[in-house]
Amino acid sequence: METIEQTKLILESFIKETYSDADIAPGSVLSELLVKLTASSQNENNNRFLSIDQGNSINDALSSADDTYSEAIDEVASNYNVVRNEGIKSGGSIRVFVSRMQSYTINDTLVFLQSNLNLNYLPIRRYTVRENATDDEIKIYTLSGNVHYFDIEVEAEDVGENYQLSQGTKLALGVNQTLNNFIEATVLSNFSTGQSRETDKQLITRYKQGLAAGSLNNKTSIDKFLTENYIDYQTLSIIGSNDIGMTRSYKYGFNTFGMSDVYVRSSLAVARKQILLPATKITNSTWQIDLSDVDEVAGFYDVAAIRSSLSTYGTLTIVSKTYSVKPTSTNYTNSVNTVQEARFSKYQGCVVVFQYIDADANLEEKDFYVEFVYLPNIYNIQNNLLSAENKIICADFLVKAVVPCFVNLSLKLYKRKEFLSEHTALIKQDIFNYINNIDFNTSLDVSQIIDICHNYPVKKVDLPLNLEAFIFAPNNDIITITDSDSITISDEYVDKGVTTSNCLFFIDYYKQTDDGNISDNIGIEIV
Amino acid sequence: MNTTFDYTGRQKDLLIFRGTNPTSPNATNIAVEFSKNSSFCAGVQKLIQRYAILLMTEITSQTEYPDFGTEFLTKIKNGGNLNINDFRHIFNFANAKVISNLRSYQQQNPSDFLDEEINTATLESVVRSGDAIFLNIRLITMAGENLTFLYPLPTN
Repeated sequence: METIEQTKLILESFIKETYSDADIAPGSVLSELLVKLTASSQNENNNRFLSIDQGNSINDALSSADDTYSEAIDEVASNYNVVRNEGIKSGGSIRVFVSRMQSYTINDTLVFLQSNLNLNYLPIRRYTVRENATDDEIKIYTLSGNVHYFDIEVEAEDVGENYQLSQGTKLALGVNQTLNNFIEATVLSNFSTGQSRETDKQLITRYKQGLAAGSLNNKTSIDKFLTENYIDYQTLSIIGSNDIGMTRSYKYGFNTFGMSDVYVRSSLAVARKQILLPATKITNSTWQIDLSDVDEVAGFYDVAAIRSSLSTYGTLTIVSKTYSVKPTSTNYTNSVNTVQEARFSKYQGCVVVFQYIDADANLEEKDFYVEFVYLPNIYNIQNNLLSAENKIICADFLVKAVVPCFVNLSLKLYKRKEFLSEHTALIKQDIFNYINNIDFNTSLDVSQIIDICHNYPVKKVDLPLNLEAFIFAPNNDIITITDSDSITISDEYVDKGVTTSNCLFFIDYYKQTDDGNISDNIGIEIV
Repeated sequence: MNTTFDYTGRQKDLLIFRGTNPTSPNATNIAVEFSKNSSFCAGVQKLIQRYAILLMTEITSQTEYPDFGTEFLTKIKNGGNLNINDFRHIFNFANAKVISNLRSYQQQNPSDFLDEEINTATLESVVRSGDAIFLNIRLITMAGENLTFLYPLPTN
């Protein structure tokens, strides 16, 4: 944008060339009454013209190193009937523990605080909690002794993906907040993905997509379709017939065209959910559950735990997880030949065998809580691409969750005297956002993490900084990569189904250990 | 002292400080006045005008040009009970800034007309007349001319 000094200089140059007799030196009347006042007025107009110049606005936004939110870009986008996404709040269920069995009123202004991350959450509505709850009230249960609990829905105080909490994360009451007999609160299952306010760069990309063809025959159009229909959707990669990692097109021993594997990251962080499923007894101490038809977690990455009740932590001992190719029964389907090809798609079948001894030796069937680690909407996205109105007749688009590479790390930081306690939380949020937003074919660099730390009053980052990553490969191997400089996903594991085009990094704030405790996944020690 | 009403070759400014009379041996009272007949000025009249505007504009009074002007009027207004020495002290600081600015401009934009370029200025006296106060200022140009003028201080 033009400064007033620049506008004044332009005017002075114009007057000197055109009216050389006029003295516009500093302090002259002509300078005071004519040049300065005109420059003030002209400057505002010039900058208004510059800001609505589409070319300059778009170039400025695209070349800016920082996130920008310009009204001019909003005006440009409106020409294409596209409106800026103002963001989504992350949210989910929490379990509130209290020390007394009585009625409670939870106002929608009561703040729950995740103190390590300095993030606030509020109930989505006013709740009335009673022992004998009616349909629109919340029931309070007794866990044991003087510990009672009830479950409510909360959402983040503000929009943004950094508000997403994982299951088991502890919450306290916010500053100056009171709830009688409050002990603590914990996150019941991973919160939904939040979304930050759309930046100018993202908005420009979206209205460019709006100009793309509506039929789902290329990456841009599929990306646009998923963005419009799935709130948490992040990114995708398409592996086609001649690309590294494509195996389906070689079913007959030679390459056939028309097949593509569509790897989707349908949320920023992985989701976790406990679902009550029926199990059948095999022997006195082993049971099995068929997980093939749990559509809401189709293409799940793993079974994290099996529990006999919601209130227990840890897991029953899992003996085996046997994956398979699930048969299909719809009119439209995909060609899926092997277990590895079916992994992370809706065609993934699985039977899990675990150990459990019930007090009733004659019991043959029982329901158990199975905790899944998954990306949401894989089933729905696949069905959408196979639907009569969307399907490309000559194409076979197989939707799969991206191959996950789970990361954890620990940092030791030497702080400057200006370092505040909230800076730790901010560093964690920035690391969370950085790792979860790394694109395909892009390495995770220690140097970027060090840069993040030095955005805050940090004197030194203790090196080496050891990164640890675990790739859950489609062939059921877990590939461990450790490095103190950079973690790069290469094509060397293509035989296991891992390529640079289908694998992305994931990191959570916390991880739950088998004894039910929560430990930091992004460990930061401040010295 | 040479005075001229021949503006040939000179750049002109609007004359708003009526009363500047370079031929008078006595200090003449100058005051801002817009008359029905507009006129231009050049030479030492123009220089006196620029000097007065630069001295008497309160610094930060122009939002977009926060460095233009001096603290002279600001300190006079907020100074409480000032004696003549306080006046001189405040004037000297402001005067130094104005002379520095003018000389800096002169260096970057040399002129053939030395009577339009300032050499120095001094406060001769402070004159009180009724409820009004006048600064008796002597201004010396690069051409060697010197002129005294009375500048009225605003009473509000």
